[in-house]
Amino acid sequence: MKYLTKKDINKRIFGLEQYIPGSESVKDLSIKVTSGTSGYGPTVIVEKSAVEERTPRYLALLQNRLLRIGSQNANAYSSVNLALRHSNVKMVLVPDAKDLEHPGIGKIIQMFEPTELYSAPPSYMILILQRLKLKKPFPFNKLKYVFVSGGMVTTSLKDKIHALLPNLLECINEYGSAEGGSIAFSCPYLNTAYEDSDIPTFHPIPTMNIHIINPDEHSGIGEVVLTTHELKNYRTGDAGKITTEECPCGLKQTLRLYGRIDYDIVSCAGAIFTLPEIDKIFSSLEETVRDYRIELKDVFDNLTLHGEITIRIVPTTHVDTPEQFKKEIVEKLARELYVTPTRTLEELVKDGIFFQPTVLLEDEIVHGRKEIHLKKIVS
Amino acid sequence: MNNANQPSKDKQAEKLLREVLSYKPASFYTEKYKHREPVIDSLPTLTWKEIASSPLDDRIYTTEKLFLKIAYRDNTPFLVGRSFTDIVRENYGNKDVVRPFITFPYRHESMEKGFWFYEHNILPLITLEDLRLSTTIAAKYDIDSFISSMESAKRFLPALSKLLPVNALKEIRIIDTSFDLNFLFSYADPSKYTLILGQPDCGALAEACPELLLQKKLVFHVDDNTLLEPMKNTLCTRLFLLPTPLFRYETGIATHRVEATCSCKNADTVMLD
Repeated sequence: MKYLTKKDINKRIFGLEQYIPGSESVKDLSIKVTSGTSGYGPTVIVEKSAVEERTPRYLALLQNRLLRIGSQNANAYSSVNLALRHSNVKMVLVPDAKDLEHPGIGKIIQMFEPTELYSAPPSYMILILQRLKLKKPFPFNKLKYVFVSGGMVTTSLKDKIHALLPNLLECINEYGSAEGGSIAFSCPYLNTAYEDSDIPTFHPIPTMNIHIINPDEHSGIGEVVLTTHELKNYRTGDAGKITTEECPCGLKQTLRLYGRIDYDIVSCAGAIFTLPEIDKIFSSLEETVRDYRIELKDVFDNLTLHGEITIRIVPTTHVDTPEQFKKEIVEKLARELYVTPTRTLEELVKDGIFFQPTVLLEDEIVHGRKEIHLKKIVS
Repeated sequence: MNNANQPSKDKQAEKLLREVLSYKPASFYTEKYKHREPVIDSLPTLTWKEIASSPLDDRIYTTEKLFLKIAYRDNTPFLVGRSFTDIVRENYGNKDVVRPFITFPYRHESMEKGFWFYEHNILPLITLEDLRLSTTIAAKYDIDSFISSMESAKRFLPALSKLLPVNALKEIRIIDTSFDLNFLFSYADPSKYTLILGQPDCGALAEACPELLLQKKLVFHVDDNTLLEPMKNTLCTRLFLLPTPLFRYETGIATHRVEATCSCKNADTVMLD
């Protein structure tokens, strides 16, 4: 089967043939763009909203006053157009970064009294909510639903959102992309069923054409591939696993996401390292570790494959006993990190599959546009 | 009011005002014009401060779905409502183009103009925050027109001109209250431009006479849907129902009436002071 990748889709404007100037069908089209940070240049897609086939869940919940923040203008425009044409929303307010930085914005939002908030990405929403938290009256008191796209809402992030918005009924995390539109969404039942896990869990939109390719033999995790009006068999670059299970909400497919296939999930010596699991461990070390990066390398010793792990750490403060500090980091990570469905890193080190991890203390870790905490080193 | 069109525009304004005053769910104008006869030129003027300090729901005169913009005057933000029905009546675009590129300093301004094109079944490209990315994508979309404010034109035209022949665009439409003709004409011939006198809180009010623009003269014909009272703080009344209507609104734009010297039939003509 032939697959499209990011590299392929920036060569021309996919979906442009759907645009017939003067036709009513234009109202369901939008121009979506990606920023080109993948290194392949910006992608432009003329997307048909396909509302009848796969209605984004947020449209069904919009009832009153939608505040839309974040995203590039072009992509925000598409979701606002959809909301105004295909939902019960009564009003939409779409402030941009400049509006949101204005000292008078709290009063404006308070006057608007939003009942629904859509933000991409989640970190941006947290920033805005925290900034306006001290405004009296708090402009988000009437918020019932929050829709978050463009990033994963982990359990701890969800707790933070609910703490900031005490009257909130539900925080819905949408999995989507500029290329594929709305793909999947969170569900309160799934949240409860998987509440102990920080792996984001969704229901794919039932009519969404989605599957996994190259699944790992043990974990079943592979790359998420989708087909839309514009893109056939598009490799999203996201690592995921699809299972079939009955959910009380009536849907039967569950999609779990493990980050980006190229760096948020790394296979090394037959084990799988996923960033959300590692991040969870390091978030409990926040007081002592300011930044980190784990580098993994496959090493062949004759014909036997081993894994080599280097943990780069930027301590929060001066470390008086560096060797003890390094030892504690390695022990905690090895003990708590499951790298196969049933085995911890510690067990694989004991079995000689992985070498004892090395810890290097650094003053700074240099990140590019995206913070990279997990990396495969290929020699 | 020294204009032949004025009496009929006054009547339109008064008809609209009666309609607005009979709309029960909103109270802004019934309160403001309490004990007043609906005679347009006898009514007190409306200021942005009155709008900014009034609750939003009190001044919404429609049940249509609304797209809200944030307008700024004296660096104070306030909300202005728009719907598809009224946006389409603005002088925001040219129906003959097929690939417009829209860029304004604020997102909601760009979106509002984008909706105008959507309502005419034309697919617009809305600008992105990043200049280089925006212009790259604009070239990729093979844009045929450019719609912007003066500020955004100064930001985007130099960059766009490196990627595509700006003078080959079908139209460059600038919507603003001041125009730097020297700058604009250094990028394209005067015949390419449509200059609209307008601002975020009150929409498009008048269009620069294309005939006089060729002579680099900036004279505006007031749009049919607008009653303009030229003065230091020009008053505007929009003659169709805006969700948040405007009667004798103080625009802050200084204009004076002039005799039309062109062959256009619109004699309702003003110049910026």
